[in-house]
Amino acid sequence: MVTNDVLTELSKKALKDGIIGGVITLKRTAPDAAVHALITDPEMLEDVDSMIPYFPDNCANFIKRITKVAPPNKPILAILKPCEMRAVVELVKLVQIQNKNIIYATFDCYGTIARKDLKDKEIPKSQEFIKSASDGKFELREICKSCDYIRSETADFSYLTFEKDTPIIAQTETGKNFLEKLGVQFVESAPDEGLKSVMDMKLKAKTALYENLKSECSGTDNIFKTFAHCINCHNCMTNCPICICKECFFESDAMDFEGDVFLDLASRKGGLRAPTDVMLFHIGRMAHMATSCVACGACEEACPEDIIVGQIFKWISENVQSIFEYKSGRDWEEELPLKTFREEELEPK
Amino acid sequence: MPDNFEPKIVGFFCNWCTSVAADMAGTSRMEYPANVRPIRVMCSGSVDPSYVIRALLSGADGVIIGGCHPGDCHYISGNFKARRRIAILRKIFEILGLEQERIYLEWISASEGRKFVKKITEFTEKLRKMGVAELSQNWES
Ligand code: SF4
Ligand code: SF4
Ligand code: SF4
Ligand code: FES
Repeated sequence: MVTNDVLTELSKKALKDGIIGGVITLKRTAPDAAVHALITDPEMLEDVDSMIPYFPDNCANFIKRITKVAPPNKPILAILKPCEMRAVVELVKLVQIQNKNIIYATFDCYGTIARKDLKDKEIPKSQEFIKSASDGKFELREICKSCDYIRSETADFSYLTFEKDTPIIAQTETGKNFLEKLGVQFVESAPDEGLKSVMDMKLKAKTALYENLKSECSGTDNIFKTFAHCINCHNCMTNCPICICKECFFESDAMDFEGDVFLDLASRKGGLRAPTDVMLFHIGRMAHMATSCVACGACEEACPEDIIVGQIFKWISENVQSIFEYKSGRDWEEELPLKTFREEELEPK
Repeated sequence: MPDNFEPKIVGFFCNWCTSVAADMAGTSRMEYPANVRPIRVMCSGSVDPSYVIRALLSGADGVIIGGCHPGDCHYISGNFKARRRIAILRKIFEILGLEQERIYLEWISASEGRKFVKKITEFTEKLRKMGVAELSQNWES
C-alpha cells in the first residue's frame, strides 16, 4: 500500500472490505476549493488527498449533523485535523454528537492555507505542501502558524507525519481493532521528536501573535478598531462548531426594543451604530463559549470582512481556559468548566 | 473628568439576599451613595454575562452583582456558577484591556445591611477614582 496519501488508501481498502460504511474526508470541487464529503464509493476516493492544506469549515459540524437523529449503524471513518478532533470532543461533552460508530482518524497537522490566499490558484497536494513546510513557500493561516494543538491524542488512530518513518499510532481499542482488521501496521506509543521541533516553532509564533494582539487590539479604542468593519452578519457564530444554541441570544428578541428605547440609547452617546450590538455580540459570545473554543479559525475563514476574529477568540479562550487548567478537546474526561465548580475557588477580591 | 463625577452603577441583586439587605439598609436609614440602579434577579446564577456587558456598553461605569454566601444559594449552586461566569468575564475584560475592576461580585446575605452599605460605598469610591468608563462613552458599541 505505497501511495502518497496513506489515509485515503487505507479508507479505500476499508470501504472495499466492508469494514466501514463510509468515509468523511476533504474532496476537491475546484482547483482552489474542497469540501468535506461522506463517501461510500471507493471509486470516488481516486482523486482524494485527505490531508490537503485546506480548511473550508470545521468538520465536527458535519459529524454533529450525521449523528443528530441517530448515529449510523455501520461505522464511518472520519479523517480530521487535530482542531476538528478537538471540536468533536467538546461536542460530545456538550451532548451534541452521539459518539457511536464513528472511527476518528487524525494526522499531525502542518497547517492550512487561507481560502482568500488560494483564490484562483491551486490547493497544493499534501505531499508537496509537507515537503515545503519549513521553507516558507506556502503562507499558512495565522491561526495555523501559531497552532499549539498539531497532534491529537483523542482520536482512535493518528498518522504521525512529523515523525521519522511516519508511523500510524493506535490510540484506542477501536483504532487498534480497525487497523488490525485492515492489516495496517501501527505503533502503540508515539515518538515525539518531530513533534517537539515543530511545536517549538509554533509556540514562538504564538507568543509573538499574542504580543501583537495585545498591542494592536487591547484597550477600548483598539478593540473597536478591530471590529470597525464588522457588519454583524453572525457568520463567525454560524460556522463556529462550539456555538450550538438553537436560538442565539444575540438574535433573540432580547435585542428588540421600542423606538423610544433606541432614541434613549442614542442620546446617551449622541448616536447609535447600526447594526446595533456588535460589541455586545462579540464579547458576549466569548463569555458564552470561550471555555470550549478550539482555536480552529472557522469563524475567521467565514468572515466576509477579513476581521481577525479567530485570532482574537483563540487568544481570549486560551486565557479563559487557563483559569480552570482546562484545554478544550484535549481529553475526553476533563469536565467542562461551565458544568462544574469547586466550593472553594475564585473568591472575589 | 469633572470634579464632581458620580459613577453610574448597575446592581444585579439576588432576591433572597442582597435585595433584602438593600431594603433593610433603606428602611433603617443607613446612609450610602445613591449611585446604584438596583435590578432584582432571582439568583446571582441567573445573571448572564451579556447583561453585565450590555450595562457597561450602555453607559454604566460599573456593575455589582450581589448573591448569597457560598452554601446559602436557594438554588444550591447558582452562586458558584455565577462566580465562574464572572471570573470568565473579568478575564476577558482583563485581556481586552477593558478595566475588569469595574465588575464586582459580592456575597451579601439578607441580614447584612451594613455590609451592603460598606460594599456600595467602597465600590462607588473606587469608581469615582477611576473616572468615567471609556467603554460607556464609545458610541460605536
Ligand atoms: S488550527 Fe491547528 S490543527 Fe487546525 S488546521 Fe490549523 S494547524 Fe491544523
Ligand atoms: S463574520 Fe465578521 S463581519 Fe460577520 S459578525 Fe463575525 S466578525 Fe462581524
Ligand atoms: S470561536 Fe472561532 S476559533 Fe473558536 S471554536 Fe469557534 S470557529 Fe473555532
Ligand atoms: S439564590 Fe441568592 S445567589 Fe442563588
